[in-house]
Amino acid sequence: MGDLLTSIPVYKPQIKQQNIPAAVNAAAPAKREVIDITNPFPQTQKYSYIPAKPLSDPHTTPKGVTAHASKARIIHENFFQSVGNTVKSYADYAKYFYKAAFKGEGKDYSVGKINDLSIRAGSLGIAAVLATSKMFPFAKGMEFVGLGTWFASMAIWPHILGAPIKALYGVDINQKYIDSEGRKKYVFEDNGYRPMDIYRHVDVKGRPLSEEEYYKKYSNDYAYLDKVGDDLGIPRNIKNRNEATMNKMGQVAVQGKTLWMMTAGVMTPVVSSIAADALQTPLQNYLEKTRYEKAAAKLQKLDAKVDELLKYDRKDLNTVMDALNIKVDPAASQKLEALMTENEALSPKQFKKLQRYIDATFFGTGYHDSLKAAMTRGMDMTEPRVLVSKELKDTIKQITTEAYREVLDRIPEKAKNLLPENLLNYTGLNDAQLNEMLSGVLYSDGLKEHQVNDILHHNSGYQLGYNAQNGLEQAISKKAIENFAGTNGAYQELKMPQRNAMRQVTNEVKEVINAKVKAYFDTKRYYVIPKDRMRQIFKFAYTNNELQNKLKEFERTSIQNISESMTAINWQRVPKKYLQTLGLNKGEIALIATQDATTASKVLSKRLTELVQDPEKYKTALKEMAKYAETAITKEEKAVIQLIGTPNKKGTLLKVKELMEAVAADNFGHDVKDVLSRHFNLRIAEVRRKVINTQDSYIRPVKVLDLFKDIKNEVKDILGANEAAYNALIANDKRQPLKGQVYYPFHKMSYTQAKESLESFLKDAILQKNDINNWTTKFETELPGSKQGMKHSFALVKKVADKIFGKLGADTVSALDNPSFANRCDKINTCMRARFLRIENKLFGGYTTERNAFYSKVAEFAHNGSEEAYKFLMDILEERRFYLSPEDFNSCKKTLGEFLGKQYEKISGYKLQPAIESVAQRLDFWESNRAISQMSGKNVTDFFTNAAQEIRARNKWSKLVYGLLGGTLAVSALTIALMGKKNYFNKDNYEYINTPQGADK
Amino acid sequence: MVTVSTVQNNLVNSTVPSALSSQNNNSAQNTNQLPVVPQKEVNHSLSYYKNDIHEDELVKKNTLGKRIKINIEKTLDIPLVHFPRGLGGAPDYTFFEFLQTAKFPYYIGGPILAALFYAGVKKDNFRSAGAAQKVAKHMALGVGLYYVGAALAKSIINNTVRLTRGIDLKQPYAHFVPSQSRKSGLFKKNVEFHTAFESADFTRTDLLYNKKGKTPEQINENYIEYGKKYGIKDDANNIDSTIKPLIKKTIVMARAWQYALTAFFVTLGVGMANQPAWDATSAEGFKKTITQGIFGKNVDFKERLHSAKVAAYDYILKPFGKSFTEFWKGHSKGSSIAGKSVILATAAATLTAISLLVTKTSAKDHKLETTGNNKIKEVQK
Repeated sequence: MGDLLTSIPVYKPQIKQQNIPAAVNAAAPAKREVIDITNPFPQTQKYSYIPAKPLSDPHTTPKGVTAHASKARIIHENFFQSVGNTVKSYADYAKYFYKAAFKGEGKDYSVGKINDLSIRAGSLGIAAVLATSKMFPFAKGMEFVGLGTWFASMAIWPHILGAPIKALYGVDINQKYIDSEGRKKYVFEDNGYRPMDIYRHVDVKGRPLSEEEYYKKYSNDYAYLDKVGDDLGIPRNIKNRNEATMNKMGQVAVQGKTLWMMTAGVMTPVVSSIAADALQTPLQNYLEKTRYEKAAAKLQKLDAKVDELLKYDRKDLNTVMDALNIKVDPAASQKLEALMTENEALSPKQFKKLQRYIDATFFGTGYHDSLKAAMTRGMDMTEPRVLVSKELKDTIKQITTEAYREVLDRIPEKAKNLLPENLLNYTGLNDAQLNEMLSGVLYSDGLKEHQVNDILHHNSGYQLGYNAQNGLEQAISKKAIENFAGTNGAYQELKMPQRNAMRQVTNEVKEVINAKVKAYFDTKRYYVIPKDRMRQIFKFAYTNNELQNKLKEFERTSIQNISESMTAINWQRVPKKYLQTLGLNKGEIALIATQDATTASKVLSKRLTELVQDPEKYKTALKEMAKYAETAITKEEKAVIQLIGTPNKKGTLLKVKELMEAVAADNFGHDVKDVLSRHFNLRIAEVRRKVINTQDSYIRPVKVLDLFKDIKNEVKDILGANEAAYNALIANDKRQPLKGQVYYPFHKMSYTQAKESLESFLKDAILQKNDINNWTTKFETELPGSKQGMKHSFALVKKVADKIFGKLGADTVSALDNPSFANRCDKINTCMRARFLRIENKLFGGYTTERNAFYSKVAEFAHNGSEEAYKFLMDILEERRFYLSPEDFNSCKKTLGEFLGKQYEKISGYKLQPAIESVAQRLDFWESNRAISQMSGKNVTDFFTNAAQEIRARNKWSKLVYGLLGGTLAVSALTIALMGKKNYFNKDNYEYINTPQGADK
Repeated sequence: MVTVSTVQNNLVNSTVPSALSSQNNNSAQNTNQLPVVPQKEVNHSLSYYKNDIHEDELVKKNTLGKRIKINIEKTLDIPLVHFPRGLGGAPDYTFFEFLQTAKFPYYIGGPILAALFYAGVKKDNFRSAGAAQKVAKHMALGVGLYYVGAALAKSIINNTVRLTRGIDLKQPYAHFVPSQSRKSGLFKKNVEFHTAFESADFTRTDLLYNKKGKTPEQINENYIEYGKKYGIKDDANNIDSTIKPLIKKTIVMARAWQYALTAFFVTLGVGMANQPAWDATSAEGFKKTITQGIFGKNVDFKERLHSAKVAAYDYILKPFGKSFTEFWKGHSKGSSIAGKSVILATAAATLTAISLLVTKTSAKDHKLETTGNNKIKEVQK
């Protein structure tokens, strides 16, 4: 080695140029010794070399040229430091970009970093663009969550791979260092470049130490490499061990980085997907809570303000607007102003424009019709404005002339010969005729003679009144034909054909003139729109709109069927949980999710039958369901109470209604108020429907479990406790007249058959077609084993329906272990039963069969005054609270109180029958069919089908995601286990130091 | 004139013959030349280069066909050469190979993300499946247009630089990997395709000389061409050294803008993919037009041609244009602002990039000084 070093030619600066040729000459081949290279492979070509001759005296040492000491250092930082440094480095990258993009200055390193910056900026841009395309905060948020998890998993994956590699082999594939120029680089970024220097004075944990500190601990310069070499299993007794270690580290690093690149494409989306999925629920919960709280606080503020306005009876529109801080959008009111004219008169075209604007502004608010009505109501708003002027006179002349021309042009030459000369050359009304006609018209406006003369003489622009206008419209055509239409003496002398011809012409002329006059008048027709009134109408509509929007904002976060509302989130989560409590297996879930409703309900029915036989499972399922149902229902009820309130305290929606009704009545009269009231009532009904719908949906599955549990008894309840009772029942039934036969579908069945038939009907009925749309057809379908449905037997239908909406059985109540919830289920079911009764009545052709669902109950109570009945009826009354006016509610309450213990007996002259009627009527649930269909909850099978579909989609996702995750992890683990080993590429040939065995120790 | 640096250059990297050394052959060079080691035949089945090369050489006539061939080869090399070599931890594994493998996650990550999303949608319910499919298709399209956007950003800059400066940033050269130094056996390759301008620090300007040229005009012919585009009229002997710093500047600026524009164009691409113009139904139609129209059985040629036209115009160009206007208009206030600002920002960034590249890299932007002996030296302003 030493010989070789001294033989390398060294450039010596002091030597003058002329000397070089001499040196070259000195190295002329002839004078040089040729040395053969010892070749271990004799079959290959033999090589020889000529040793270099120094250019100058070999003792000369180079002066003035020394290499700079490397300042490169290993970076040893924890996770947080690393994050902090990353953030800092982005600022540097931005600087790099500025220099490179605007000045063209930079190096490969800095330009490469711009790419990092740009990828992140681009991704942020994408997330922002996608977020703006989403309507709701959760969807928006998820775009950024997705972005965040994407980059996080991209950054984390190499560390996850690196950890076991480091543990097994001591090589940190993510190790970084700062080079002499202060740039941060990965140690193993470029396999061709292995900076051993940076490991000098690094302790075994990879921390760079100062020289002083280092030597306190270690005597060897490369403690870290020594340790890694041990980890890698590099023999200790070889030459150049550090170099061998570095090579092995390189091998492991290349292997690790290749594994990283092979797996990153799969793992980044997989890990990102899993992380985003995990973050979904917390984000959703957080947003739901904050959105609701925010909306509720806003509503509360509105409530307080409306309260105050109502308290002090403020009805002035401007005061109300000020108090509620409602301002008409300046752009909107500017547009309105632009659509109105200075003299408050609008041409039909302008009027249409204004109407269209009002339509567009208030469309779908439910009161733009009333606005339009308010605008066009009364003559003052539709008056044509025709002025007596020179223009009017000229136009009349022109119209009359043209009308004759047109008609004469149409008729054949032959006919023309029959017409008199003055008709053929008619030149319109003359001034005398005009004045005569106009003065006649003007007198009808109630003017005096001198006034009329004055107007006609000066063409003063007098505006014709309503009567005068109508008169004029008729008078022109009359006047224009008077010379030729029989009144004239000359006409009498004419012969028949001539008369006919003239009559035909004048009739046609009359028509033409009338049409032309109408068209002309239409161009002069103006709508008089008093500006102030219009502004007022606009302001009122605007205020109402704003208030509705404020209320809607609250509804959107809570009870509306809209993405990300409380309701929507419940619907997304609760059915899945319900389904899980049933313990269905994968195959069953697949059947429910993919097959039709009949198959799905069969699967469900089978599962439920099994479930109710296991008391423990039955109990757990019920309890779980109750838990989820309660939270879901309570949440929505809370929101509804905010809007509608309780009998003692009105909700915001009711208060706003009251306020706006007062304002409408005060400013515009009762027509507008009535329209508004109707509109508000619809809104209130909608809110009520919503909450009942939710209650019914979530409580129905509980009732299903209950019915399945108790089905044998329920069937016996209808058909008789034993065979003898059943036989007697049927025998008796058969004796009845055809119309009175209650059990006619079972007439040909044995007791066992009948039981089975009814049981399977009941199971199917409660699981399927439970909704209003199928309520009556359900009774028309054949009973199993019979060729008939039961629709002709009102009594039987009622019995079956009572079972479906009946009270929960004792088993269920005790299993629920939640009396208040059980009570609530009963209440809701009873009310639903009352609603459905009306539909059943329809089966029997009318509404008379059983009008008031609770009439008999009330009557019974009135006559016995029992505590139990009182409680029941009070519960029903409580359910009616949203429907009754406070007065009705309170009077009902009072009457029921009087019935309790028959206290009314103490009141003299108490009219019992009217009191019973009145209470029963108020307690009845009268709604249109459509309303019930919206209130009845989801069909149980549909409910579970949806849930099954959700679960299956999720299972598919999990299978794929966790499959990919597991597969990639397994491949990675296997690869990592094989790293650093001797292989095809790395032969691990070491040159051992020949030390006697054991000499070290 | 023999300089020591030339000798050293040859020692350090014997595979890079300097232009100077090829011009100035002399006795010392001849006598010190390393003996040529006979090469073993290498399996070139993957290489489109049929003949062995022994030194780096520029791929002349950078045509689309050649580029496609080179790219196919480079792509195939990732799983067939770089992965096995990397997994084995080949000692001569290069940084180039690492960068090549890094393309793998870039291209499969997006599609896998879209696939994962699609796996999670409710497919049993007819209605929600339809809606979700639509979303998933938009997402897949988004991934596609992301790559299109990135490619477009690069190509805008490439074309600007090529047209205004004559520099083809994609100019490939075949890098000779001396095979006797590779211990990789089975997976050895002796050609790697790089691009001449891929590095600003180590630009392969040496490859731009015409080594077969006799006169300075011939040797520097490429540089003279560049000179015309840059606006430099210099002595044919020196023009190379005058232009090299400008080339470096061009590369740095072009790369920076390529990266920056990528951010804008991918956002634009994803934004456009998110528009209703690309309906799920049109995806079906597109598939049908291709499978049954263009490649269908028993279809006469005229109809095939027509189908191709329909596929290109009705299913690609038209929705592309429509989605652009839809993105601009937006469907809500927020999305309309977002759409407009993305489009405007992209346009502004593109114009800025082009104008900076045109003005700042030109010789007109640099003061040129004559330093005697007919030499013009580029001096930073």
